[in-house]
Amino acid sequence: METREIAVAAHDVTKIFHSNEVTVTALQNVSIDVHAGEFVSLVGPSGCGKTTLLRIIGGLTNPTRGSVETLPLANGRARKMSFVFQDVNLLPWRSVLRNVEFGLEPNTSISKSDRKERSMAALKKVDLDSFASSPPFTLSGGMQQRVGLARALAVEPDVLLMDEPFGALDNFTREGLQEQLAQLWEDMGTTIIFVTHDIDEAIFLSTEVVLLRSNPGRLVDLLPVDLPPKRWTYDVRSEPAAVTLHRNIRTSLSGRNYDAPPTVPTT
Amino acid sequence: MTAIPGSTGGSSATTEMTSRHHSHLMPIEDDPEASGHQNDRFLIRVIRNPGVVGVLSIAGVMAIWWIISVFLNPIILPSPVASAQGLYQIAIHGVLGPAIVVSLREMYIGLALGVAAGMLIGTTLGAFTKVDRVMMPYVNVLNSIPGVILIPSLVIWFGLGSETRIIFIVLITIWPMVINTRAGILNSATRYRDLSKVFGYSRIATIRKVLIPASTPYLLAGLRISMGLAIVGMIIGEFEVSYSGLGYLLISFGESLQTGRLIGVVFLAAMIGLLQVGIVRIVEARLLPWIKHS
Repeated sequence: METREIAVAAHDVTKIFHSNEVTVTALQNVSIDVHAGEFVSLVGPSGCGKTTLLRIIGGLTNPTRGSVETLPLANGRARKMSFVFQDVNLLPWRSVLRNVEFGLEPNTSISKSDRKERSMAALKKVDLDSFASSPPFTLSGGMQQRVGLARALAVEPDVLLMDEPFGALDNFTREGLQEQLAQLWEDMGTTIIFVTHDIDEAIFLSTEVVLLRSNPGRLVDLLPVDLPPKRWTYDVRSEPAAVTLHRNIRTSLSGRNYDAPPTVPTT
Repeated sequence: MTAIPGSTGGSSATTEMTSRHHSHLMPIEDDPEASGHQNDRFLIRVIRNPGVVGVLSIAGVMAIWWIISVFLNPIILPSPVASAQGLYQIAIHGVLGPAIVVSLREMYIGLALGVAAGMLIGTTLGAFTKVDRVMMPYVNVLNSIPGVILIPSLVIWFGLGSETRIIFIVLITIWPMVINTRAGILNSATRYRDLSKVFGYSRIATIRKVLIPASTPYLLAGLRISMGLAIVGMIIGEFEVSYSGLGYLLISFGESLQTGRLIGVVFLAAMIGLLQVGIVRIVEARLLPWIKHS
């Protein structure tokens, strides 16, 4: 069996928060390997530490114990990471295009015109190139989230970290964005680590789901999603494999086994 | 109830009828032509116009002032007309012009220096926690003492020239800028911490490209307070340390009981204040439409 290339490895990560004599173990000895090119979802109820794990992977928070390693690419170059926030975090005084350029600005090796070109290309990927000069507050929540995605894509990341990006959106907008993200991922092959509490969303998008439970936050299971690609072309949710997986995830997360439905007495 | 497109004139009969039935449901502005009480509606709209309200309000106050002044000795309260005449007289005698130039020059130099220094100090305090811990007690002390008590010391150190008044204006306009800028930087630092970290921004680049622009609403709030204080500083400075300027005119007209001229100058100072508020408003509306939405 061929060994798959690991992109990000978390070793025994523990995170403990102290506040006012209350100690919360957000994560306890969590280890995962994220393989290159996979779409991995971290799924669990609130308080299970999924966002904390993502932030530790992204270097936004330090673990109390353990470590996270981002491995270099086969050619030796370090993997670039990028982040999509739940609350978008667009800069309201900048236009949409200038917001996308924001991530490229610290990189002085990119010329101004290059930066603009790459940002326009990223906006095109999320179908927002015609809004390049608009101020962000004129855009809907879903469109703002797509600008956030374009900003993250503009830096051409090898690993894209997404923290419940669609959590605050209505159902229709969310499904539209899920589809767009699925298509983008299949085109680009970027490794994505995606935090969500929505099981359907995780099944639709991912190749692998990591299940976490709370008190203390810990890893309970890691399940592959064996469903054919291009999932926006067919009704994933009603596929038998998806239904089974959904049930397995729910069982794993709740820790209870469901009884068979009561039989209806026949007359 | 629905208007027929392109036939506002012809459909007036129908709209009139329906609007009478449903008038309690409809906002008045929606159908200005619809009812028979056209004049009432017009009046209501005129009265609701903020510009008209402002003018009416000023006219009312003037009228009350004028009525009261009729019964009083003009040394106690001259009429609005006498005050305007007083202002006109000192203007044509070449007293007012130079005084305005002197006063505004000192005020704007002091304000500019105070605002610039306040922003610099506020940004430093907000962005560098260690500096903040050391400096904040001094800021609190200096901010809480009334500026006037510094004047005798300033006179000893810097004499009776315009430098002293400028320094005084700097010292009273600086603190609102320090406090507001610091608050703005601290607030935005929390809000955008992850963003600048994710995209690898250095401390300085974060301050320049994220924190300062994000703090503009706070800067403008501080600026508004400092502008008001600058006028106060200008007048008080000239009361205490001057032989020219608007403050000096106020003092000398007061001492010689030229109340008409005195009130004329008071009015002028108020107009300068109003002008400042207007300037900040325009800056805010023009440059920062996003403030309302953030």
